Amino acid sequence: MYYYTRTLNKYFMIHVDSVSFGYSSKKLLFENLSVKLHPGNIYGLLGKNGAGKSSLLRNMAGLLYPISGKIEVDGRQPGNRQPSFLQDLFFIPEEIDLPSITVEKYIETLAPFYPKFNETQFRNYLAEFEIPEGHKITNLSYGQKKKVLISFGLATNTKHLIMDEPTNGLDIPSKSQFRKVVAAALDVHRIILISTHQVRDLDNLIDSIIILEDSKILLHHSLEEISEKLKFATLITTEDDNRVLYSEPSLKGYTVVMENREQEDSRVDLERLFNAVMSNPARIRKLFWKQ
Amino acid sequence: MNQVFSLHRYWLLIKLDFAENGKRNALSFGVISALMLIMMSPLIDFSKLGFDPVVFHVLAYFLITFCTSLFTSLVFEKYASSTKGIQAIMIPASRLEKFLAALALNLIFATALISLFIGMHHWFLAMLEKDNPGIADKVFHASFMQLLVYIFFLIQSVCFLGSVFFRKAAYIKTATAFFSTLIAMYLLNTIYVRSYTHADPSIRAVPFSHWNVTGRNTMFLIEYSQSTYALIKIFLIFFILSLWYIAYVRLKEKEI
Repeated sequence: MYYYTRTLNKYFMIHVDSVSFGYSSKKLLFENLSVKLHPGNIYGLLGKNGAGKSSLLRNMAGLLYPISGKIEVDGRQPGNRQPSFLQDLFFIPEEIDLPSITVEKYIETLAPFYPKFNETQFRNYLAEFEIPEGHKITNLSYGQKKKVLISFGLATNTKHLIMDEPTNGLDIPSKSQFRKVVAAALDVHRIILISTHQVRDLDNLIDSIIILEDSKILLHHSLEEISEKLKFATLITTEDDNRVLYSEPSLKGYTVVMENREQEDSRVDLERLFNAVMSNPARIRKLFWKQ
Repeated sequence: MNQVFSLHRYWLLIKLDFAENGKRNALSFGVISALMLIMMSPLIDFSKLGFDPVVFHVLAYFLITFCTSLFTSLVFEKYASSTKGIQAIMIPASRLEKFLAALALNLIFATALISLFIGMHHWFLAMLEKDNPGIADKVFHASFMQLLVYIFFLIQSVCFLGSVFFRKAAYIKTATAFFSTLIAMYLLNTIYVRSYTHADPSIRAVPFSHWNVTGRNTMFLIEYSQSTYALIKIFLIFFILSLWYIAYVRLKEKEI
């Protein structure tokens, strides 16, 4: 059983193997990039603007072709855009443009393409997001349209759900609704990958982090592993403390990200983690890759 | 699961297109048909205004060719923008199904219009015959009508390719490329004819057509043989098919 599960796990995953990509072969956006994503996880892909997050997601979805290397999604090449692959991967782009039809017509025409689409689930998500019924999609606000698409994507029950900056355009209550519905939609067979530069939007949602910067992956670990290695704390002073990787002044002194030599528990603060990785990439690399 | 073609998925794509563009397509068809009807209508007596009604039939042909080509150049419009293009590419259907669905809907639109034009031309000239005896003799000869249909579908095929080839201003760029190619072909043909006839100024020629020889008081045509004309027609059909195939390859390789 263990072997069977491990084999299945190996097969049902997204595998990016030594992929290089750029809009021109002279200037690569990322080079020799490798990453494996396993089912049952919500991954957060973080990076600064222009780091290549969207391009990486589009490569995984088969919308762009890598210059070199190989991408496999459940053993299939995304670039072939086979119907069976597309039935198992739903992609929500950053900018959306939905057709001028009602939500009912949208379900009627698009849902039959997805064999595992669940209309009850879809309507529940719409209710959760407080989307009014019976309106033409084009008459909804941008945020509402995005919520319709997110609801639809979740209700397709595809094995892979890739979302590029899904919280852009959502108001504050919608962001917490978003976290709630996405967390509830995860199951052991599903990979959810969310890219964002607004790291706080993914708080309490993701269980693994991938940080992309300067054409490389700086960090790719689960929150559990991160909290084993790093401690998120508040210190009165940071002087002479060589454990500190990143600090910023706060009311009580300094909020810091530091090496967790004492193996103490702390809650991972995504924003501070991101800043720590950006400001101290070499030390982070040494800390995480020496294991 | 068949990864190349499934009738079920193909039908779903057709339904999706009807839902998204059905109203726009029906409106375009209605407007073009109405304009064609006004221009060719036997109820309006253009001869009283000093015009030959057949001239308006020719103008109606140009009108539908122009309007249909505009329509055709929008076939792959959604793939030009990243927002719509991503959704179009990510629909779970094969690339062949997506291509054939777009082609079929475009051909239905174009064929319906050109058929309507042919029908109106014959019916309306027959109706005008009562008041203008002899006008029925001006009905386009079958070979001329065939030529018009060939040109019509050739232009549609060029626009079909242009719509997936060019990301922005597809119609203008396609028209520029098309007319540039026509001019280049005309010049090459002229150079060929002039070199063949030792630059005889009395001989003019149009590509894929007869040679026109003008004397002092005479003019005669040198026609290709029937078999050569048949070959030209076959070539044109293959040319249209190859334009469709190139469009398919472009769609397959589309990156967004």
